[in-house]
Amino acid sequence: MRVVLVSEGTYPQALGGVSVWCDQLVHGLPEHRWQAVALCVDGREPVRWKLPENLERVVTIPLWSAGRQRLRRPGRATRSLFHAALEDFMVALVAPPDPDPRRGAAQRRRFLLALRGLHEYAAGGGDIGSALRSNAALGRLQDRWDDVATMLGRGHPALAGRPRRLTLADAAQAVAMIGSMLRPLAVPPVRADVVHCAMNGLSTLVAMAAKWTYDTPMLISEHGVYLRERYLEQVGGDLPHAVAVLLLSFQRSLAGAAYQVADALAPHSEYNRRWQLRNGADPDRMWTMYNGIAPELFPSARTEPEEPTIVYVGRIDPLKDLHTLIRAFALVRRRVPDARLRIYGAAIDLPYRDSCTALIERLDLVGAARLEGSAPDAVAAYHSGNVVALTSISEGFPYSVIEAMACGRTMVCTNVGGVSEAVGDTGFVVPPRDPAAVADACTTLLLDPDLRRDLAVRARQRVLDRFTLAQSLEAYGSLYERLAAPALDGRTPAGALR
Amino acid sequence: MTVSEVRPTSMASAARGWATASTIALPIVRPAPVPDRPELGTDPVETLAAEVRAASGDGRFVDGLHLAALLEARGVTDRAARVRYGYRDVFELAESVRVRLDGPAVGPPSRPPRRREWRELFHGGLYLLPSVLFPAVLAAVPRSPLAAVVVAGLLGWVWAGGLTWLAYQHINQGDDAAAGRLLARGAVCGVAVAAALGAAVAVMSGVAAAALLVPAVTAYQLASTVLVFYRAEARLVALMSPAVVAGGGFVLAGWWPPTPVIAAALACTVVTFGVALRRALRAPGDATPGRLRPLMRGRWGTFALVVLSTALLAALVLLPQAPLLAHHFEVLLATLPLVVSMGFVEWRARRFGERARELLHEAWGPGGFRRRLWWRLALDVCACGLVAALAGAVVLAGLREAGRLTPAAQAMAAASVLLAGAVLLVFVLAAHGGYGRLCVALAAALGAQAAAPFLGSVALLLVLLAVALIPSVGRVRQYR
Repeated sequence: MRVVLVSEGTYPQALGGVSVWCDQLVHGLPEHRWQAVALCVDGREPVRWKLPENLERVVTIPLWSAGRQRLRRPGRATRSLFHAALEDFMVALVAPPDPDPRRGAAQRRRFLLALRGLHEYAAGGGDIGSALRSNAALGRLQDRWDDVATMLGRGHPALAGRPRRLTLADAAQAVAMIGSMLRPLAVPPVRADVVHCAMNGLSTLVAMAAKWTYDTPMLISEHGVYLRERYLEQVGGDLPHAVAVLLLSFQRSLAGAAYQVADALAPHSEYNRRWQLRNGADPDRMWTMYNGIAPELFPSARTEPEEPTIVYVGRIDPLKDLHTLIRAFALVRRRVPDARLRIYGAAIDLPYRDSCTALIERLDLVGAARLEGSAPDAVAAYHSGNVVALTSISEGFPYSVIEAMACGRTMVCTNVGGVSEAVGDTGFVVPPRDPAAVADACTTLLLDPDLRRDLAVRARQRVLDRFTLAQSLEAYGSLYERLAAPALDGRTPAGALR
Repeated sequence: MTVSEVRPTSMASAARGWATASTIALPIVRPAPVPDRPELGTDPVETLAAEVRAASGDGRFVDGLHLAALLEARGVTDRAARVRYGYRDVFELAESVRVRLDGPAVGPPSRPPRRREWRELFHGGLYLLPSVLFPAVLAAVPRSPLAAVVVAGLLGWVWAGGLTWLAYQHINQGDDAAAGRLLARGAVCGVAVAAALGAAVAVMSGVAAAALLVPAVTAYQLASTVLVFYRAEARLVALMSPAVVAGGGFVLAGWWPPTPVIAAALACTVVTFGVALRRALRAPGDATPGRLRPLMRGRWGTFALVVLSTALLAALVLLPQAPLLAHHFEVLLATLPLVVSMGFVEWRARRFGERARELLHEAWGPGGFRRRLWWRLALDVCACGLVAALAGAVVLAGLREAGRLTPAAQAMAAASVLLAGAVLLVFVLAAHGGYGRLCVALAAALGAQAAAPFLGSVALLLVLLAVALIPSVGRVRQYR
């Protein structure tokens, strides 16, 4: 079977949880022939994974490099179709979400048709980005903006915060970005038996094009919630509010349209289902598929460090909220003066890393709390702590949690994403952004070795029971077979949860 | 209730009709009423709204999902939404909180900050600077160095134009160091090419001085290009001032020997060239080696048009002047208004682009934007012509006073006035990337010189450039 795996900003050009999962999938299902489609910034990103032999091809789709291709003018019929599609597309950018499920579904279907019209325009030789940036399109977008305010009334709560008039500057900025994001619609559709998107959002455009052209089944996995992360990016962001309205409306409409058209949806935690159902996903086509690890690669620790140590393993990133962990550690030190905090991970956001260093200095934790850089050996990193902490504000179903659990370490985690589903009753799950709660949990564990060991044993067993790689691969293999068959039979794939 | 079920007000109907001139079906509905606030002893939702307002900066959220994402990131779960706030889930709670945020009043649209810079206004003086030295050169060289002056003028102009365009490709990628290195290497290569051409001209014309004159003039042009690129005009003036004083002294005194003046000019040019190279090589950052080729992939055609359009403009301006150098000095003086007004033209060209970007932040649609830009462009063309006309009036008055005012000088002054406006349009069209259209207009005007007087060809150029600008002046994406 030929499977195309589509991802944005991850495999094979970046490290991180989703890339690990992609690599596991391709390695773990050698009976399939794979092709990876990577949505990237400019196509100059190096490949950072050793590619398996059954990965036959990697196609990159640069989203943000300057486009220079010369396109032909589409025929009149295609242009006519495009103008109709553009109208619906513009409406989706300005319309607030409809709270009524039936009408919300109609909104999403209309947007899906608009995307198909844009794809056919591109397939006919048109340049979507250029058409969106034209004066005519900008004027239409301004008109639709005014229409919404006229229909709902300027004081309507759904329009709170919106400027009265959409300026050309804001409209042009938004459509320039959206035009780049739509580039996957303009590349030749991929040929495969199944197109598997590693996330929602722009990746699904590749699958949609294949579905419209070759009727290829489409599967979406969601580790985190793509739309939720786009929303979080725009909390207190620099973009003008009108631009944020247009961009987030595009992302919301796209995610909803993808749920409509997907043949199967695989949230990687029960938590994700809430957002997916809220945005129109069909529960009859959803199966929860947890991430899995190979337990033999994460052996249980036989000893504990000499000093009471809290460990973090992951990216140095604002979403991980390491400030909360460092502040919590300062509180831990009041009751466990010889405690240590070791933070392992690569920093992509260097200013954030510097802010962590500055916070450590300001809280007088230099020496006790250390940024160790990337961990060459993750197992050794987990083993170097008595407790493993994760204080993220947003997560999907993080590998670091089940890896640490498999290593026989007790977790202190924030209650985000699927973390509580992973940890269950084998660790402490506390509210995010609450240093005192994190500190209480860590202190309790550091001061109670019996509790710590008991939870650690149960944590490893929980991983063996529920979150192994073999279970995960079996579930996906089964789902591929059923998607490639003429119709889904409605039964839950082996290893998946309804 | 769908929109088609909503009975629109007459204003709404009018707005829709005006907006689309056809039927549209907005799938927009009045969202369901926000759930009533639960009856709790205190009002934790108000407290939560206050926390959100403090955490989010401006308190503005695109929709309820936007706020729900923030609430979850702050630890609010479905359970907390039920137990603590009395709502079904985080999504419902977020809708309620968002209504209470009563986001801040929307202020006027933000505008890009205006650069209050006037330095371009002095560029005219910089371009005039070498002409102070020409009398000394003419006195020192036994035979007319016409060919050398034309070759140096054309080469320096075209080389500087192409070099700065390439350097800006690096700047646009944020690679200042690569831009500096390119400018330095390009300037050295330019002088080397000029030396070779100067030697060739010396051999062919029999004017030995050409071997020195061509590279020296080119070196000054490229040094001034580099220093202007880095906004170091004051340094350029300071470095060249001894030569200017010597050249001015030669003209005013009338009896100074020309050789020391030329020696001073050469020395100043060498020092200025060295300073310019040093400035370019000190650009911050580490240049990424081998970046130009991938950067220019697919752009060499544009680069060729940039070079061609620069060459055509240089030819259009310089070729009619060259024959005047030896025998019609009064007509040559009548070109000074164009040189003097070039700084003003550059300033207006920059301001035109800035004004266009400011207009994008105002409440205009594309039609209003286009009309205002054309109006602004017409005013700027007139202003450039007016400045050149004022300078021309001074020159013509001087010639009249000296008894050397001729019809040819008057025609040249008039052409300079039109050319000032035309050059503004050249800058604007180049800023739009319309190099192909620019080449066509310039080539047509240059061809017209064969059949029509210079004034006529410049008038034609003005009209052709205005026509060439029609597709792009009102196009919003040209100004982003």
